[in-house]
Amino acid sequence: MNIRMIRADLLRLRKHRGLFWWSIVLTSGAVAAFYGIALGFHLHDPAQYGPAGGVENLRRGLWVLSMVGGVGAAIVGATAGTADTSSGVFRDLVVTGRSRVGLFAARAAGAVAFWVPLAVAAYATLMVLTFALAAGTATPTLAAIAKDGGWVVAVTTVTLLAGLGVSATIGSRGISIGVLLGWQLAVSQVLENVHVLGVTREALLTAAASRLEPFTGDAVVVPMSAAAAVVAMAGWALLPLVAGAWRTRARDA
Amino acid sequence: MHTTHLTDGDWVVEATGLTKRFGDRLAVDGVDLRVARGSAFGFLGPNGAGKTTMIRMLLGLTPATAGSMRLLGRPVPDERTAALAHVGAIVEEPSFHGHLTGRENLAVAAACRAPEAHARIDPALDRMGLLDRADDRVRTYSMGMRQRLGIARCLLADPVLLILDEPTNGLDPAGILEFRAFVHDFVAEGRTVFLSSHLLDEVEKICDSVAIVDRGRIRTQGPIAAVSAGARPRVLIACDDNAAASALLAADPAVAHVQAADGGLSVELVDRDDAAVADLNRLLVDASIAVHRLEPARVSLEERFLEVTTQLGVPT
Repeated sequence: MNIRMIRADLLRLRKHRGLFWWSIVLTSGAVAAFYGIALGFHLHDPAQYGPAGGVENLRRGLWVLSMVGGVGAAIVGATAGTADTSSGVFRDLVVTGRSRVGLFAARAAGAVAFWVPLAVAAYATLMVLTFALAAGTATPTLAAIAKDGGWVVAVTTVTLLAGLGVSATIGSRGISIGVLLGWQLAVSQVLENVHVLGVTREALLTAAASRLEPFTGDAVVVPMSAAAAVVAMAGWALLPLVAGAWRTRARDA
Repeated sequence: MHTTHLTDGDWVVEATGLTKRFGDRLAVDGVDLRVARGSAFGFLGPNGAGKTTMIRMLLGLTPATAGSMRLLGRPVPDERTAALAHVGAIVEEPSFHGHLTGRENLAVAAACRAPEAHARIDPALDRMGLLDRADDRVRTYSMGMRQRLGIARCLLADPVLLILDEPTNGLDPAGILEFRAFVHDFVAEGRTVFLSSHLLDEVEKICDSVAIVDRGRIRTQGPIAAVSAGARPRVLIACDDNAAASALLAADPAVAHVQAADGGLSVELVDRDDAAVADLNRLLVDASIAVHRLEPARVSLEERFLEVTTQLGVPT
Protein backbone atom coordinates (compact mmCIF):
# COMPACT_ATOMS: atom_id res chain seq x y z
CA MET A 1 0.00 0.00 0.00
CA ASN A 2 1.22 3.49 -0.73
CA ILE A 3 -0.15 7.01 -0.66
CA ARG A 4 -0.85 6.90 -4.42
CA MET A 5 -3.09 3.87 -3.96
CA ILE A 6 -4.98 5.55 -1.11
CA ARG A 7 -5.46 8.67 -3.22
CA ALA A 8 -6.73 6.51 -6.07
CA ASP A 9 -9.26 4.84 -3.78
CA LEU A 10 -10.31 8.24 -2.47
CA LEU A 11 -10.78 9.48 -6.04
CA ARG A 12 -12.93 6.47 -6.83
CA LEU A 13 -15.25 7.19 -3.90
CA ARG A 14 -15.26 10.96 -4.30
CA LYS A 15 -16.26 10.74 -7.96
CA HIS A 16 -19.16 8.43 -7.13
CA ARG A 17 -21.72 11.23 -7.23
CA GLY A 18 -24.63 9.31 -5.77
CA LEU A 19 -22.55 8.05 -2.88
CA PHE A 20 -21.04 11.48 -2.29
CA TRP A 21 -24.33 13.37 -2.16
CA TRP A 22 -26.13 10.72 -0.12
CA SER A 23 -23.27 10.81 2.35
CA ILE A 24 -23.74 14.57 2.72
CA VAL A 25 -27.50 14.15 3.09
CA LEU A 26 -27.02 11.52 5.81
CA THR A 27 -24.49 13.61 7.75
CA SER A 28 -24.72 17.40 7.37
CA GLY A 29 -28.20 17.10 5.87
CA ALA A 30 -29.47 15.11 8.84
CA VAL A 31 -28.03 17.63 11.26
CA ALA A 32 -29.53 20.57 9.35
CA ALA A 33 -32.90 18.81 9.18
CA PHE A 34 -32.88 18.09 12.91
CA TYR A 35 -32.09 21.68 13.83
CA GLY A 36 -34.58 22.96 11.26
CA ILE A 37 -37.33 20.92 12.89
CA ALA A 38 -36.23 21.96 16.39
CA LEU A 39 -36.24 25.62 15.29
CA GLY A 40 -39.69 25.21 13.79
CA PHE A 41 -41.05 23.82 17.05
CA HIS A 42 -39.39 26.61 19.02
CA LEU A 43 -40.76 29.33 16.78
CA HIS A 44 -44.22 27.75 16.85
CA ASP A 45 -44.39 27.42 20.63
CA PRO A 46 -41.42 28.97 22.50
CA ALA A 47 -43.00 28.24 25.87
CA GLN A 48 -43.22 24.54 25.20
CA TYR A 49 -40.05 24.12 23.12
CA GLY A 50 -36.79 25.80 24.08
CA PRO A 51 -34.20 27.21 21.68
CA ALA A 52 -33.04 24.79 19.00
CA GLY A 53 -29.37 25.38 19.82
CA GLY A 54 -27.33 25.31 23.00
CA VAL A 55 -26.21 22.43 25.15
CA GLU A 56 -29.76 21.30 25.73
CA ASN A 57 -30.29 20.09 22.20
CA LEU A 58 -26.67 19.14 21.54
CA ARG A 59 -27.15 15.63 22.89
CA ARG A 60 -30.10 15.01 20.58
CA GLY A 61 -28.19 16.48 17.65
CA LEU A 62 -25.25 14.21 18.36
CA TRP A 63 -27.56 11.22 18.66
CA VAL A 64 -29.09 12.05 15.26
CA LEU A 65 -25.64 12.42 13.70
CA SER A 66 -24.36 9.18 15.21
CA MET A 67 -27.44 7.20 14.12
CA VAL A 68 -28.16 8.68 10.69
CA GLY A 69 -24.47 9.26 10.04
CA GLY A 70 -23.92 5.64 11.05
CA VAL A 71 -26.29 4.60 8.27
CA GLY A 72 -24.26 6.70 5.85
CA ALA A 73 -21.02 5.22 7.17
CA ALA A 74 -22.33 1.68 6.68
CA ILE A 75 -23.33 2.51 3.09
CA VAL A 76 -19.97 4.11 2.30
CA GLY A 77 -18.07 1.24 3.93
CA ALA A 78 -20.05 -1.42 2.10
CA THR A 79 -19.64 0.42 -1.20
CA ALA A 80 -15.90 0.82 -0.71
CA GLY A 81 -15.56 -2.83 0.28
CA THR A 82 -17.21 -4.20 -2.84
CA ALA A 83 -16.59 -1.57 -5.56
CA ASP A 84 -13.56 -3.31 -7.06
CA THR A 85 -15.07 -6.78 -7.07
CA SER A 86 -18.51 -5.73 -8.31
CA SER A 87 -17.05 -3.68 -11.17
CA GLY A 88 -14.53 -6.40 -12.05
CA VAL A 89 -11.62 -3.99 -11.60
CA PHE A 90 -10.24 -6.06 -8.72
CA ARG A 91 -8.87 -8.59 -11.22
CA ASP A 92 -7.16 -5.85 -13.20
CA LEU A 93 -5.55 -4.48 -10.05
CA VAL A 94 -4.38 -7.92 -8.91
CA VAL A 95 -2.58 -8.48 -12.21
CA THR A 96 -0.42 -5.45 -11.50
CA GLY A 97 1.35 -7.67 -8.98
CA ARG A 98 0.26 -5.66 -5.94
CA SER A 99 -0.54 -7.79 -2.91
CA ARG A 100 -4.22 -8.28 -2.33
CA VAL A 101 -3.87 -7.34 1.31
CA GLY A 102 -2.17 -4.12 0.20
CA LEU A 103 -5.06 -3.40 -2.16
CA PHE A 104 -7.52 -4.04 0.68
CA ALA A 105 -5.60 -1.83 3.09
CA ALA A 106 -5.56 1.01 0.56
CA ARG A 107 -9.30 0.54 0.11
CA ALA A 108 -9.86 0.88 3.86
CA ALA A 109 -7.59 3.90 4.17
CA GLY A 110 -9.26 5.54 1.17
CA ALA A 111 -12.70 4.99 2.71
CA VAL A 112 -11.58 6.57 5.98
CA ALA A 113 -10.07 9.50 4.06
CA PHE A 114 -13.41 9.92 2.29
CA TRP A 115 -15.55 9.59 5.40
CA VAL A 116 -13.77 11.55 8.11
CA PRO A 117 -13.99 14.96 6.36
CA LEU A 118 -17.72 14.39 5.82
CA ALA A 119 -18.23 13.48 9.47
CA VAL A 120 -16.15 16.44 10.62
CA ALA A 121 -18.09 18.77 8.31
CA ALA A 122 -21.37 17.48 9.71
CA TYR A 123 -20.13 17.96 13.23
CA ALA A 124 -18.99 21.47 12.35
CA THR A 125 -22.47 22.16 11.00
CA LEU A 126 -23.91 20.84 14.23
CA MET A 127 -21.68 23.10 16.29
CA VAL A 128 -22.43 26.18 14.18
CA LEU A 129 -26.16 25.58 14.66
CA THR A 130 -25.68 24.83 18.36
CA PHE A 131 -24.12 28.25 18.85
CA ALA A 132 -26.20 30.15 16.30
CA LEU A 133 -29.52 28.91 17.67
CA ALA A 134 -28.55 28.97 21.38
CA ALA A 135 -30.61 32.13 21.97
CA GLY A 136 -28.71 32.95 25.15
CA THR A 137 -28.78 29.45 26.61
CA ALA A 138 -25.59 27.59 27.65
CA THR A 139 -23.20 26.57 24.90
CA PRO A 140 -20.59 23.77 25.02
CA THR A 141 -17.06 24.40 26.25
CA LEU A 142 -14.03 23.87 24.00
CA ALA A 143 -13.27 20.62 25.82
CA ALA A 144 -16.81 19.39 25.30
CA ILE A 145 -16.68 20.36 21.63
CA ALA A 146 -13.51 18.32 21.13
CA LYS A 147 -14.80 15.37 23.13
CA ASP A 148 -18.21 15.25 21.44
CA GLY A 149 -16.63 15.58 18.02
CA GLY A 150 -14.10 12.85 18.69
CA TRP A 151 -16.82 10.54 19.87
CA VAL A 152 -19.17 10.98 16.92
CA VAL A 153 -16.38 10.74 14.35
CA ALA A 154 -14.98 7.63 16.06
CA VAL A 155 -18.35 5.87 16.32
CA THR A 156 -19.29 6.48 12.70
CA THR A 157 -15.79 5.57 11.46
CA VAL A 158 -15.95 2.26 13.32
CA THR A 159 -19.28 1.60 11.59
CA LEU A 160 -17.65 2.50 8.27
CA LEU A 161 -14.80 0.03 8.81
CA ALA A 162 -17.21 -2.65 9.99
CA GLY A 163 -19.25 -2.12 6.82
CA LEU A 164 -16.14 -2.31 4.66
CA GLY A 165 -14.89 -5.47 6.30
CA VAL A 166 -18.26 -7.21 6.28
CA SER A 167 -18.92 -6.36 2.63
CA ALA A 168 -15.45 -7.48 1.54
CA THR A 169 -16.08 -10.73 3.39
CA ILE A 170 -19.59 -11.34 2.07
CA GLY A 171 -18.94 -9.85 -1.35
CA SER A 172 -22.33 -8.18 -1.58
CA ARG A 173 -22.92 -4.49 -0.93
CA GLY A 174 -26.68 -4.73 -0.49
CA ILE A 175 -26.64 -7.70 1.86
CA SER A 176 -23.85 -6.15 3.92
CA ILE A 177 -25.74 -2.89 4.37
CA GLY A 178 -28.88 -4.78 5.33
CA VAL A 179 -27.08 -7.04 7.81
CA LEU A 180 -25.15 -4.19 9.41
CA LEU A 181 -28.09 -1.82 9.75
CA GLY A 182 -30.38 -4.58 10.94
CA TRP A 183 -27.84 -5.53 13.56
CA GLN A 184 -27.09 -1.99 14.70
CA LEU A 185 -30.56 -0.52 14.62
CA ALA A 186 -32.62 -3.50 15.77
CA VAL A 187 -30.89 -6.67 16.98
CA SER A 188 -28.17 -4.95 18.98
CA GLN A 189 -30.66 -2.62 20.69
CA VAL A 190 -32.75 -5.61 21.75
CA LEU A 191 -29.74 -7.63 22.96
CA GLU A 192 -28.58 -4.73 25.11
CA ASN A 193 -31.72 -5.20 27.15
CA VAL A 194 -31.50 -8.97 27.49
CA HIS A 195 -29.90 -8.94 30.95
CA VAL A 196 -29.38 -12.67 31.05
CA LEU A 197 -26.57 -12.19 28.51
CA GLY A 198 -24.57 -10.43 31.23
CA VAL A 199 -21.11 -9.17 30.34
CA THR A 200 -21.27 -10.54 26.81
CA ARG A 201 -23.38 -7.49 26.02
CA GLU A 202 -20.22 -5.44 26.43
CA ALA A 203 -19.18 -6.72 23.03
CA LEU A 204 -22.07 -4.88 21.36
CA LEU A 205 -20.98 -1.83 19.39
CA THR A 206 -24.07 0.13 20.43
CA ALA A 207 -23.39 -0.64 24.10
CA ALA A 208 -19.74 0.37 23.83
CA ALA A 209 -20.62 3.54 21.94
CA SER A 210 -23.22 4.46 24.59
CA ARG A 211 -20.67 3.90 27.35
CA LEU A 212 -18.23 6.30 25.70
CA GLU A 213 -20.90 8.87 24.94
CA PRO A 214 -19.51 12.12 26.35
CA PHE A 215 -22.63 13.18 28.27
CA THR A 216 -22.26 12.65 31.94
CA GLY A 217 -25.13 11.59 34.08
CA ASP A 218 -26.89 9.59 31.39
CA ALA A 219 -27.76 6.06 32.44
CA VAL A 220 -26.14 3.40 30.26
CA VAL A 221 -28.00 0.17 29.57
CA VAL A 222 -24.89 -2.00 29.76
CA PRO A 223 -22.52 -0.83 32.50
CA MET A 224 -18.88 -1.42 31.60
CA SER A 225 -15.49 0.19 32.03
CA ALA A 226 -14.29 2.75 29.51
CA ALA A 227 -11.39 0.43 28.65
CA ALA A 228 -13.80 -2.40 27.86
CA ALA A 229 -15.80 -0.06 25.65
CA VAL A 230 -12.67 1.03 23.78
CA VAL A 231 -11.65 -2.59 23.26
CA ALA A 232 -15.14 -3.46 22.00
CA MET A 233 -15.11 -0.59 19.52
CA ALA A 234 -11.62 -1.47 18.33
CA GLY A 235 -12.78 -5.05 17.88
CA TRP A 236 -15.73 -3.92 15.77
CA ALA A 237 -13.32 -2.06 13.51
CA LEU A 238 -10.54 -4.63 13.37
CA LEU A 239 -12.26 -8.02 13.25
CA PRO A 240 -14.34 -7.28 10.13
CA LEU A 241 -11.22 -5.78 8.53
CA VAL A 242 -9.20 -8.90 9.25
CA ALA A 243 -12.00 -11.04 7.84
CA GLY A 244 -12.25 -8.82 4.77
CA ALA A 245 -8.49 -8.90 4.20
CA TRP A 246 -8.47 -12.68 4.54
CA ARG A 247 -11.35 -13.03 2.06
CA THR A 248 -9.70 -10.61 -0.37
CA ARG A 249 -6.50 -12.62 -0.19
CA ALA A 250 -8.25 -15.94 -0.72
CA ARG A 251 -10.78 -14.84 -3.33
CA ASP A 252 -10.47 -16.01 -6.94
CA ALA A 253 -10.11 -12.85 -9.00
CA MET B 1 8.27 -28.02 -30.14
CA HIS B 2 10.23 -26.30 -32.87
CA THR B 3 11.94 -23.73 -30.70
CA THR B 4 14.21 -25.85 -28.56
CA HIS B 5 17.26 -23.95 -29.77
CA LEU B 6 16.25 -21.02 -27.56
CA THR B 7 17.97 -20.59 -24.22
CA ASP B 8 16.25 -20.31 -20.84
CA GLY B 9 16.34 -16.50 -20.86
CA ASP B 10 14.42 -16.39 -24.11
CA TRP B 11 11.19 -17.71 -22.62
CA VAL B 12 8.71 -15.24 -21.19
CA VAL B 13 6.26 -17.92 -20.12
CA GLU B 14 7.27 -21.36 -18.93
CA ALA B 15 4.80 -23.76 -17.39
CA THR B 16 5.49 -27.33 -16.39
CA GLY B 17 2.81 -29.80 -15.39
CA LEU B 18 0.40 -26.99 -14.70
CA THR B 19 -2.84 -28.38 -13.35
CA LYS B 20 -6.05 -26.84 -12.07
CA ARG B 21 -8.87 -28.82 -10.59
CA PHE B 22 -12.28 -27.43 -9.61
CA GLY B 23 -13.70 -30.14 -7.37
CA ASP B 24 -13.90 -33.25 -9.55
CA ARG B 25 -13.47 -31.31 -12.78
CA LEU B 26 -10.02 -31.08 -14.28
CA ALA B 27 -9.89 -27.68 -16.02
CA VAL B 28 -6.18 -27.69 -16.86
CA ASP B 29 -4.39 -31.00 -17.05
CA GLY B 30 -0.62 -31.07 -16.70
CA VAL B 31 0.13 -28.34 -19.23
CA ASP B 32 3.70 -27.81 -20.41
CA LEU B 33 4.00 -24.50 -22.23
CA ARG B 34 6.79 -22.23 -23.39
CA VAL B 35 6.39 -18.87 -25.05
CA ALA B 36 9.38 -17.31 -26.80
CA ARG B 37 10.36 -13.71 -26.08
CA GLY B 38 9.50 -11.17 -28.78
CA SER B 39 6.86 -13.27 -30.51
CA ALA B 40 3.13 -13.11 -31.03
CA PHE B 41 1.92 -16.33 -29.49
CA GLY B 42 -1.56 -17.67 -30.07
CA PHE B 43 -3.26 -19.71 -27.38
CA LEU B 44 -5.97 -21.33 -29.39
CA GLY B 45 -8.81 -23.49 -28.24
CA PRO B 46 -12.57 -23.85 -28.27
CA ASN B 47 -14.67 -22.18 -25.59
CA GLY B 48 -14.28 -24.00 -22.29
CA ALA B 49 -10.95 -25.57 -23.28
CA GLY B 50 -9.17 -24.11 -20.24
CA LYS B 51 -7.48 -21.11 -21.85
CA THR B 52 -8.69 -18.50 -19.39
CA THR B 53 -8.06 -20.74 -16.39
CA MET B 54 -4.49 -21.21 -17.59
CA ILE B 55 -4.04 -17.44 -17.93
CA ARG B 56 -5.59 -16.82 -14.51
CA MET B 57 -3.07 -19.20 -12.96
CA LEU B 58 -0.17 -17.51 -14.74
CA LEU B 59 -1.30 -14.14 -13.41
CA GLY B 60 -1.92 -15.34 -9.86
CA LEU B 61 -5.66 -14.77 -10.07
CA THR B 62 -6.32 -18.34 -9.01
CA PRO B 63 -3.88 -20.81 -7.47
CA ALA B 64 -2.64 -23.79 -9.44
CA THR B 65 -3.48 -27.23 -8.07
CA ALA B 66 -0.10 -28.56 -9.22
CA GLY B 67 2.83 -27.69 -11.45
CA SER B 68 5.27 -24.82 -11.71
CA MET B 69 5.33 -21.56 -13.66
CA ARG B 70 7.82 -18.86 -14.57
CA LEU B 71 6.95 -15.46 -15.94
CA LEU B 72 9.80 -13.41 -17.47
CA GLY B 73 12.16 -15.95 -15.93
CA ARG B 74 10.81 -15.46 -12.41
CA PRO B 75 9.00 -18.21 -10.53
CA VAL B 76 5.40 -17.43 -9.76
CA PRO B 77 3.73 -17.11 -7.36
CA ASP B 78 6.96 -16.74 -5.34
CA GLU B 79 8.19 -13.69 -7.28
CA ARG B 80 4.84 -12.69 -8.64
CA THR B 81 5.14 -9.00 -7.79
CA ALA B 82 8.45 -8.55 -9.61
CA ALA B 83 7.30 -10.60 -12.60
CA LEU B 84 3.95 -8.86 -13.03
CA ALA B 85 5.53 -5.42 -12.81
CA HIS B 86 6.44 -5.88 -16.48
CA VAL B 87 3.31 -7.69 -17.59
CA GLY B 88 0.13 -6.10 -18.94
CA ALA B 89 -2.93 -8.30 -19.06
CA ILE B 90 -6.55 -8.28 -20.05
CA VAL B 91 -8.43 -11.30 -18.75
CA GLU B 92 -11.79 -12.03 -20.40
CA GLU B 93 -12.87 -8.43 -20.87
CA PRO B 94 -11.37 -5.24 -19.46
CA SER B 95 -13.33 -3.87 -16.52
CA PHE B 96 -13.50 -0.26 -15.40
CA HIS B 97 -15.24 1.98 -12.93
CA GLY B 98 -17.99 3.37 -15.16
CA HIS B 99 -18.37 6.53 -13.11
CA LEU B 100 -14.73 7.49 -13.65
CA THR B 101 -13.28 8.93 -16.84
CA GLY B 102 -10.84 6.98 -18.96
CA ARG B 103 -7.96 9.03 -17.62
CA GLU B 104 -9.10 8.52 -14.01
CA ASN B 105 -9.42 4.79 -14.52
CA LEU B 106 -5.85 4.68 -15.77
CA ALA B 107 -4.79 6.79 -12.79
CA VAL B 108 -6.31 4.18 -10.46
CA ALA B 109 -4.35 1.44 -12.23
CA ALA B 110 -1.16 3.53 -12.40
CA ALA B 111 -1.28 3.98 -8.62
CA CYS B 112 -0.70 0.23 -8.31
CA ARG B 113 2.24 0.32 -10.70
CA ALA B 114 5.69 1.87 -10.45
CA PRO B 115 5.73 5.68 -9.92
CA GLU B 116 6.67 6.33 -13.56
CA ALA B 117 3.43 4.67 -14.70
CA HIS B 118 1.53 7.90 -14.09
CA ALA B 119 3.59 9.70 -16.75
CA ARG B 120 2.57 7.00 -19.25
CA ILE B 121 -1.16 7.70 -18.96
CA ASP B 122 -1.41 10.37 -21.68
CA PRO B 123 0.97 8.66 -24.12
CA ALA B 124 -0.97 5.40 -23.70
CA LEU B 125 -4.30 7.16 -24.28
CA ASP B 126 -2.84 8.92 -27.29
CA ARG B 127 -1.47 5.72 -28.77
CA MET B 128 -4.83 4.02 -28.42
CA GLY B 129 -6.60 7.01 -29.99
CA LEU B 130 -8.49 7.86 -26.84
CA LEU B 131 -6.99 11.20 -25.87
CA ASP B 132 -10.03 13.12 -27.14
CA ARG B 133 -12.36 11.04 -24.99
CA ALA B 134 -10.03 10.68 -22.02
CA ASP B 135 -12.14 12.94 -19.81
CA ASP B 136 -15.46 11.29 -20.62
CA ARG B 137 -16.88 8.75 -18.24
CA VAL B 138 -16.12 5.18 -19.23
CA ARG B 139 -19.80 4.23 -19.05
CA THR B 140 -20.24 6.28 -22.24
CA TYR B 141 -17.52 4.31 -24.09
CA SER B 142 -18.28 1.77 -26.79
CA MET B 143 -17.04 -1.81 -26.49
CA GLY B 144 -14.19 -1.06 -28.88
CA MET B 145 -13.13 1.97 -26.85
CA ARG B 146 -13.15 -0.12 -23.68
CA GLN B 147 -10.92 -2.70 -25.35
CA ARG B 148 -8.53 0.05 -26.40
CA LEU B 149 -8.61 1.54 -22.92
CA GLY B 150 -7.80 -1.92 -21.57
CA ILE B 151 -4.73 -2.07 -23.78
CA ALA B 152 -3.80 1.47 -22.72
CA ARG B 153 -3.96 0.24 -19.13
CA CYS B 154 -1.61 -2.59 -20.03
CA LEU B 155 0.85 -0.09 -21.51
CA LEU B 156 1.17 1.70 -18.16
CA ALA B 157 3.54 -1.10 -17.16
CA ASP B 158 5.66 -0.61 -20.29
CA PRO B 159 5.15 -4.36 -20.59
CA VAL B 160 7.65 -6.92 -21.78
CA LEU B 161 4.73 -9.35 -22.01
CA LEU B 162 1.13 -8.58 -22.95
CA ILE B 163 -1.41 -11.26 -22.13
CA LEU B 164 -4.66 -10.65 -23.98
CA ASP B 165 -7.61 -12.97 -23.46
CA GLU B 166 -10.12 -12.90 -26.33
CA PRO B 167 -9.18 -9.28 -27.09
CA THR B 168 -11.29 -8.89 -30.23
CA ASN B 169 -14.56 -9.90 -28.60
CA GLY B 170 -17.11 -7.27 -29.45
CA LEU B 171 -14.89 -5.43 -31.92
CA ASP B 172 -16.21 -4.50 -35.34
CA PRO B 173 -14.13 -5.40 -38.43
CA ALA B 174 -12.37 -2.02 -38.40
CA GLY B 175 -11.57 -2.47 -34.74
CA ILE B 176 -10.17 -5.95 -35.41
CA LEU B 177 -7.91 -4.60 -38.16
CA GLU B 178 -6.76 -1.84 -35.84
CA PHE B 179 -6.07 -4.37 -33.11
CA ARG B 180 -3.95 -6.50 -35.44
CA ALA B 181 -1.88 -3.43 -36.25
CA PHE B 182 -1.37 -2.75 -32.55
CA VAL B 183 -0.14 -6.30 -31.97
CA HIS B 184 2.27 -6.11 -34.89
CA ASP B 185 3.62 -2.83 -33.53
CA PHE B 186 4.05 -4.26 -30.04
CA VAL B 187 5.99 -7.23 -31.36
CA ALA B 188 8.09 -4.91 -33.52
CA GLU B 189 8.97 -3.03 -30.33
CA GLY B 190 10.31 -6.25 -28.84
CA ARG B 191 7.33 -7.01 -26.65
CA THR B 192 5.78 -10.46 -26.49
CA VAL B 193 2.06 -10.79 -27.10
CA PHE B 194 0.29 -13.83 -25.68
CA LEU B 195 -3.05 -13.90 -27.41
CA SER B 196 -5.75 -16.26 -26.23
CA SER B 197 -8.56 -16.78 -28.68
CA HIS B 198 -11.05 -19.21 -30.09
CA LEU B 199 -10.90 -17.38 -33.44
CA LEU B 200 -8.63 -19.30 -35.79
CA ASP B 201 -8.48 -16.65 -38.45
CA GLU B 202 -7.42 -14.04 -35.92
CA VAL B 203 -4.61 -16.17 -34.53
CA GLU B 204 -3.41 -17.24 -37.96
CA LYS B 205 -3.19 -13.62 -39.13
CA ILE B 206 -1.58 -12.19 -36.01
CA CYS B 207 0.62 -14.85 -34.45
CA ASP B 208 3.97 -16.44 -35.24
CA SER B 209 3.45 -19.52 -33.15
CA VAL B 210 0.56 -21.23 -31.51
CA ALA B 211 -0.52 -23.76 -28.94
CA ILE B 212 -3.79 -25.58 -29.46
CA VAL B 213 -5.53 -26.40 -26.21
CA ASP B 214 -8.50 -28.64 -25.78
CA ARG B 215 -10.14 -30.09 -22.70
CA GLY B 216 -7.44 -28.68 -20.47
CA ARG B 217 -4.47 -30.07 -22.38
CA ILE B 218 -2.07 -28.67 -24.94
CA ARG B 219 -2.61 -30.83 -28.02
CA THR B 220 0.15 -29.32 -30.13
CA GLN B 221 2.34 -26.23 -30.13
CA GLY B 222 4.96 -24.57 -32.30
CA PRO B 223 5.26 -22.15 -35.23
CA ILE B 224 2.00 -21.91 -37.12
CA ALA B 225 3.43 -23.42 -40.32
CA ALA B 226 4.82 -26.37 -38.38
CA VAL B 227 1.58 -26.94 -36.47
CA SER B 228 -0.42 -26.82 -39.70
CA ALA B 229 2.03 -29.19 -41.35
CA GLY B 230 1.51 -31.60 -38.49
CA ALA B 231 -1.97 -32.36 -39.77
CA ARG B 232 -2.59 -35.52 -41.72
CA PRO B 233 -1.77 -34.95 -45.39
CA ARG B 234 -4.67 -34.75 -47.77
CA VAL B 235 -5.00 -35.10 -51.49
CA LEU B 236 -7.82 -33.89 -53.68
CA ILE B 237 -8.93 -36.32 -56.35
CA ALA B 238 -11.24 -35.66 -59.28
CA CYS B 239 -12.37 -38.75 -61.21
CA ASP B 240 -15.26 -40.06 -63.30
CA ASP B 241 -16.84 -42.27 -60.61
CA ASN B 242 -16.72 -40.77 -57.14
CA ALA B 243 -18.79 -43.49 -55.50
CA ALA B 244 -16.63 -46.34 -56.75
CA ALA B 245 -13.43 -44.43 -56.04
CA SER B 246 -14.58 -43.58 -52.54
CA ALA B 247 -15.34 -47.22 -51.72
CA LEU B 248 -12.05 -48.36 -53.18
CA LEU B 249 -9.95 -45.74 -51.38
CA ALA B 250 -11.70 -46.17 -48.02
CA ALA B 251 -10.61 -49.79 -47.99
CA ASP B 252 -6.96 -48.92 -48.57
CA PRO B 253 -4.83 -49.06 -45.38
CA ALA B 254 -2.92 -45.90 -46.41
CA VAL B 255 -6.14 -43.87 -46.30
CA ALA B 256 -7.50 -42.52 -43.03
CA HIS B 257 -10.64 -40.89 -44.31
CA VAL B 258 -12.45 -40.10 -47.56
CA GLN B 259 -15.10 -37.46 -48.06
CA ALA B 260 -16.73 -35.67 -50.95
CA ALA B 261 -15.32 -32.22 -51.64
CA ASP B 262 -15.84 -29.74 -54.48
CA GLY B 263 -17.27 -32.33 -56.87
CA GLY B 264 -14.39 -34.71 -56.17
CA LEU B 265 -12.94 -36.46 -53.16
CA SER B 266 -10.82 -35.26 -50.29
CA VAL B 267 -8.62 -38.13 -49.18
CA GLU B 268 -6.88 -37.98 -45.83
CA LEU B 269 -3.74 -40.12 -45.70
CA VAL B 270 -2.41 -41.95 -42.67
CA ASP B 271 1.17 -40.78 -43.36
CA ARG B 272 2.95 -38.17 -45.44
CA ASP B 273 4.17 -40.50 -48.13
CA ASP B 274 4.47 -39.63 -51.83
CA ALA B 275 4.63 -43.28 -52.75
CA ALA B 276 1.24 -43.81 -51.15
CA VAL B 277 -0.23 -41.09 -53.35
CA ALA B 278 1.17 -42.81 -56.45
CA ASP B 279 -0.25 -46.11 -55.19
CA LEU B 280 -3.70 -44.55 -54.83
CA ASN B 281 -3.55 -43.29 -58.39
CA ARG B 282 -2.53 -46.74 -59.58
CA LEU B 283 -5.33 -48.33 -57.56
CA LEU B 284 -7.95 -46.15 -59.22
CA VAL B 285 -6.55 -46.58 -62.71
CA ASP B 286 -6.37 -50.37 -62.27
CA ALA B 287 -10.05 -50.27 -61.33
CA SER B 288 -10.78 -48.46 -64.62
CA ILE B 289 -11.58 -45.19 -62.87
CA ALA B 290 -10.34 -42.21 -64.86
CA VAL B 291 -8.45 -39.77 -62.67
CA HIS B 292 -8.71 -36.19 -63.95
CA ARG B 293 -6.88 -34.50 -61.14
CA LEU B 294 -4.79 -35.50 -58.13
CA GLU B 295 -3.17 -32.79 -56.05
CA PRO B 296 -1.99 -32.27 -52.49
CA ALA B 297 -4.30 -30.05 -50.40
CA ARG B 298 -2.91 -27.15 -48.41
CA VAL B 299 -3.69 -27.82 -44.75
CA SER B 300 -4.73 -24.68 -42.91
CA LEU B 301 -4.49 -24.00 -39.22
CA GLU B 302 -8.24 -24.31 -39.13
CA GLU B 303 -8.12 -27.88 -40.40
CA ARG B 304 -5.36 -28.72 -37.97
CA PHE B 305 -7.35 -27.13 -35.16
CA LEU B 306 -10.45 -29.09 -36.05
CA GLU B 307 -8.44 -32.29 -36.36
CA VAL B 308 -6.91 -31.80 -32.93
CA THR B 309 -9.99 -30.58 -31.10
CA THR B 310 -12.53 -33.01 -32.49
CA GLN B 311 -10.79 -36.19 -31.41
CA LEU B 312 -13.36 -36.73 -28.69
CA GLY B 313 -12.68 -39.85 -26.76
CA VAL B 314 -9.36 -40.48 -28.47
CA PRO B 315 -6.62 -41.09 -25.91
CA THR B 316 -3.76 -38.59 -26.20
